Amino acid sequence: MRNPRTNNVWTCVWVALFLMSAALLPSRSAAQNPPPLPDAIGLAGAAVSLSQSVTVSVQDINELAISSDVLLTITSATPGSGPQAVIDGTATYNLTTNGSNKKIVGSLDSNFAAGITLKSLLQAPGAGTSTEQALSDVAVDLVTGFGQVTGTDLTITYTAEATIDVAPNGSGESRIVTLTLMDN
Amino acid sequence: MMRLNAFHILTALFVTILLSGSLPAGAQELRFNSGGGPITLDILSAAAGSEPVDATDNSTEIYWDANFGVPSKMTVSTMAPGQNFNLFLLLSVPDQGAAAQGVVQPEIQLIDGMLDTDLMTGIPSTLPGRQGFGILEYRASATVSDGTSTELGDDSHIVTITLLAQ
Repeated sequence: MRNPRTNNVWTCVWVALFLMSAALLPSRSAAQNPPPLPDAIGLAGAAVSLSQSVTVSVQDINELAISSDVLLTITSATPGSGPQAVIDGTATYNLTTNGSNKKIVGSLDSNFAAGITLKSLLQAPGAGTSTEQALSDVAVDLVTGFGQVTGTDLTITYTAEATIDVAPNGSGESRIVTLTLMDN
Repeated sequence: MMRLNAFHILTALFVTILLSGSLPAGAQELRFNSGGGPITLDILSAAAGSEPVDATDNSTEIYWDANFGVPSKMTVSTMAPGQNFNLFLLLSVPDQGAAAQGVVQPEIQLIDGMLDTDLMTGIPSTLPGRQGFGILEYRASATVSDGTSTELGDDSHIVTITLLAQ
């Protein structure tokens, strides 16, 4: 037969064990605490962290846009000289490039009739160097040696010239000027 | 004189169940609700004459239960050796009624080696306010003078969000 005092001790031990197990159990509200990921649970009072890998990639960006069409009409000459050249500086271009050592080349879709010349001079963006060039169906360098720059409303100056032996051509000859931004 | 019998055991079980329901939960929690994998932000376009267009990502959602017993907060930091471009993070917390309480901080610039910077503060210690979810809104930006990944390589960040007692 057991000692009554021993029975009381055993009862207390049982109760203590149950209480300890209760204290060690996690939160009981399954709705509020859905089963977490193993690495997302911290010890009581300790900070918990998550990490994520984020990559930032910057692609080569090269954008060029020309503003408007241009009409150049050669109408006069000084007596004793050939027809007077006509200059237009109304056209502009915008540019963005994040690359280095770039250039802009220019060309026509087809050449003008013999004796007619169209020249182009571009305002250089940034530290670029511009050169006035006669345009033809073969691309020529107009601006060189620039990079990592934006530019807005940069001027394009066109000069039209005709020799004395060019016959009047009515409403004129239309050509498409193409500017290309490319590696130097 | 007292003997251990079924009555005692059942009583102890009953007391245990009662007490376990009123005890505080044992641990705080921070996890990804969605996303969480590697993210790539590509800056790839610009209007002629303008700086490149920012790249954004909001595919990552986090869940937290700030069961610290005291007010808490979330912080952010990053490691990105050789960083060349700009990266920002905003924790966007939609209205969740009485849940998700706290003060969300404005967009934070993530800079290599930065100290832990507050992302959200004043998270209460009690339910329901201590629990909530939010979207990690990343934004990457670069100017033309920053150059390109072709020349410099990509920026690789390890962004760490931490939930801790305030």
